[in-house]
Order: sequence, then C-alpha cells, then structure tokens
Amino acid sequence: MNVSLRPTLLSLALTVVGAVAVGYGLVTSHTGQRPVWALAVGLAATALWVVRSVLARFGQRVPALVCAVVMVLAGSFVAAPTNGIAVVPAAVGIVALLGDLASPLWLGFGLSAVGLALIPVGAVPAEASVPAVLAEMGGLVLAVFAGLSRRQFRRAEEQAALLRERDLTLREEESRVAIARDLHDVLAHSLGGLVIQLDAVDALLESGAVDAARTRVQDARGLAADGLADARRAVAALREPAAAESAPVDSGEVESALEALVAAHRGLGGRAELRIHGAPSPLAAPQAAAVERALQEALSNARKHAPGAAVTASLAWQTDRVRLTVSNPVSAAHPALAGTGGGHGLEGMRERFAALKPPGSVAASADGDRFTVTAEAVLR
Amino acid sequence: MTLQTIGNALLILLVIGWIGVRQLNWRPVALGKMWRSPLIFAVVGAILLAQQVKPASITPLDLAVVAGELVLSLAVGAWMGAIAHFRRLPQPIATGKDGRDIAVYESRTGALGLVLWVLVIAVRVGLDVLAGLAGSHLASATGIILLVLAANRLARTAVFAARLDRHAALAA
Repeated sequence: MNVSLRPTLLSLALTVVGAVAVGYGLVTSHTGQRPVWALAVGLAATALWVVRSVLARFGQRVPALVCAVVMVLAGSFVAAPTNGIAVVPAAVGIVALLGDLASPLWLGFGLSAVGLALIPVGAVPAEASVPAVLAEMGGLVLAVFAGLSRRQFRRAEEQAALLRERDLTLREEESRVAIARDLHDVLAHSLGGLVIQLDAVDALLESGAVDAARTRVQDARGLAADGLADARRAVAALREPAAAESAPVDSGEVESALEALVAAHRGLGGRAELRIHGAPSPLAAPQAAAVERALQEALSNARKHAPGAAVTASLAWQTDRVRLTVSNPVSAAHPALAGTGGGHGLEGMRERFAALKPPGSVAASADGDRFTVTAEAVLR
Repeated sequence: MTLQTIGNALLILLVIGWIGVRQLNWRPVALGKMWRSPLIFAVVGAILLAQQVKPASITPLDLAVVAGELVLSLAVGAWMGAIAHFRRLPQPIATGKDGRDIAVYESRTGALGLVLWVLVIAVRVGLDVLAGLAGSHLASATGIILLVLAANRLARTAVFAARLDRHAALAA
C-alpha cells in the first residue's frame, strides 16, 4: 500500500518541470521591488518541493514530511512579497500533508491555518494589496480541499486493496472446499466399500468358506486399485486443473465408468440396474467427473441407508442436457436419514454441479417410499 | 473610548467570565449544541464586521493581526479540547430547550483550561494594543472579537468530537 504513496518517475519529472517554472517566475518577475531574502526563501521552498518528491520516491517518509512542513511555512510567508508565486510550493506542501494517510489530519489542518495566517503577516513588510493577499489565501484554501479529496481517494484505494485481499482468501477457501469434496468422494467410496468387503471376508473365514473369502478378497483388491486410480486422477486434476478440464470425455467412456460403478455395487452385495437412453454426446471433463461421482455417491448412500434394496439408475441424454436419476426404496429402519438426504456427500454433489460451467443442478426428494436423486449437467 | 466601546467591553468581559466559570464545573457534553453556538457567534460576528468595517480601510497589517489572532484562538481551543477530562454520565440526559441534544458524557477543562483562557485574552489584548500602535484597528472591532471566540469554541468542539469518537470506538 505504501507503494502507491511513492511518486512515479513521471510525477517526479512533472515536479521538476513545475519547480523550474516557479523558480523561473520567482527570479524574473518584479525583481526590483522585492527584497533579496524573500527571493531566497521562495527559491528554497521551491527547491524543497523537488527534494520532498525525491525523498518520497525513496521511501523517506519523515524527512519528506518535514520538507512539506517547511514548504508550507516558507512559501506562505513569502507569498505576498513574491506576488503570490511562492504560494505554489506552500499549496503543494498542504496537498502532500493532507493527502498522506499516514500523517495525522490535525497536522494538515493546523499547518494550513498557520500558513493562512502567515500570508498576511508576510504581506505587511511587502505592503501588498489586500485583494492580492486574499487571493493568495484563497489559493491555500483550495489546496486544503484538494488535499482532502486526495486523502479520500487514497482511503478508497486502500479499502479496495483490502477487499481484493479478502477476495483472494475467499477463493483459497473455495479451493480448499473443492479438495475436501474430492477427498470425500474418492476415499469415502473406496474405503467404505473395502470395509464392507473385509467384513464379509471375516464372516466367510469364520464359517470356513475359504474359497468364497478368496473371491471377496480379490474383489476388495480390485476396489482398492480403483480407489487408488481415482485418487491419482484427483491429485492430477488438482495439480493441473487446466489440462484436466480442457479435454472432452467421450460418452462411451462415461457410460462404461457408470457401468463399472454399478457392477462394483453389485459386487458389494447390492442390487442395481443402469438404464441408458437418448443420443449420447461428449462431456467436458468436470461434467463427466460430476456425473460419475454423483452415481458413486448415490450408490454409497443406498448401501448405507437402504442396504439390500434395489437401486434404479438411469442416464438420459437429451439435446441440451444429460440427466442422471438414481432412486432407491427408503428403508423403514432409517426414515429420518432418508428424509435429510445424506450429509457431506449430497452437499458435495450439489457444489460440484453448481461449480460446472454452465452450472448444473442436483435435486433430492423423498417421494412416497422412494428416495430419488436427480443430477443434471447442461451440455454446451 | 466611546460609551459603545465600554458597553462592548463589559459584555465581552461577562461572556469571558461566564465561560471561565463553566470550565471549572462538570458540564454535560451535547455536541450538537457545541457546534451550534460557535457558528452563531461567527455569523453574528461576520454581520457586525460587515456593518462596521469598510473594505477599503483594511490594510495587510489588519489582515495579519486578525489571521494571527484566529490561528492562536484555534490553537488554544484545540489545546483546551485536548486537556479536558471526560466522564460518563450515570445516565444520558437531554439538554437544550426542547431536549433534542442527548448528552452521554460530561466534561471539565479544569484550572489549566482557565489559565489558557486568561492567556488567550491577555495575548489578544496585548496584540490589540500593539496593533493599534502600529495603526491597525480592525482587531478591536466587536465582530472580530466574536469571530475569535467562535474560532476558539469551534476548535475545542472539533477536538471533543474526535476524542468522543475514539472513546465510543474503544467502548464498542
């Protein structure tokens, strides 16, 4: 934020041009009637104008502040003897003081008042005319307003920077939530399936059915391998989101992934059926992932809340959208759970579809004795 | 010294004494009223000035003396505002004729405030005398006296307002 307070090279150059013009005016105009000391003080104030800018450029805040104070005092005092020319460095000093958020407001106001009083004081020995003195004081008053407006502008700038910072934090938070979602989808599914398989293995071994247990262990190995592949894909997508999102996914690939999920569900002892209709079209990678994760999550939920019940899944390709509907009977034992529609999983599903471009939607409803999740992605 | 000048002087002495006594006592702080009274002083002073002083008769010295007095008055007013003590009233009270100003704090400037007040008057009188010797008579005009008073009260009120703002921000 301090960077904006430092003058650019251009404004430094303009300062030099302005100071040279004022210095030239001081030296050339009405030299006869003016005492030498007034010229010297006026030139010194003008030189300090440049010095202040250079100091500010190099971040020397306090010396720059002192320069501004001296500019106001010296410039105001010799404003009348120099026919008002020296009021320019004084006004610049006031704008600098009032426009600097780090210097207190009372200092700017106090110095403005002192400067305003010094103009007529300096006018006494010079025997300047009253209207001229009043005009010089008016110039200083204008500088006060300019300084205040500059201060206001800087404050607004500071607040805008603060807002940008908050926005960044918010975005980081969003990406963290997205990572949490991916972790949940990948890990909860495969680890949950593994637990079921291993329980079954335990039971089978206990009853001595070694062969059946062996089959289960192989299934469990397949599930773990799938989960590992999923986790690798998720990590790759997090590493290079652009590359992962740009490539479209073939509809056949999506359908076979869904079939694999249903097959895995059957392998875990569930009953499920997937129907696909409509004319397929390719999906964007995030859309394909969202649809796959939605079915995965719905099947996980069905296993959790309505174990053993038949799940009906359908994928409908329409001209402008693809809709996945998963429906299962509500188990009488957990009506409350079915009504709430799950915890992180459904929420994550909603977030995932809402984050799609163009945004999709997820609806969950307990319709009579069936719980239905409908997820829709809009095709481009 | 005309009768009018003596009358003015007496009136001003009265106002000065009144303000001096009030500095030593705890007074409820009603910012609305505190802003209003200096503005009224200033307006009355400006009107009197416009009636009494011909613009053509003003010299740079007049301007210098008046500007100096105004700055001094502002500075002392701000100083008074800075040394004032605040304390919270047991409960907010309504002040003013129709009770539209609510005072939450009361304040007292104390003995140092009185000293400052005497000092500013002494400096003013001294400046007036010096300026009169040097040929400037604008500063002794009643309008200017009121303007100087207004500047003093205005600066004090501005400092009060800033301090009470900070107080409120700290309390919140």
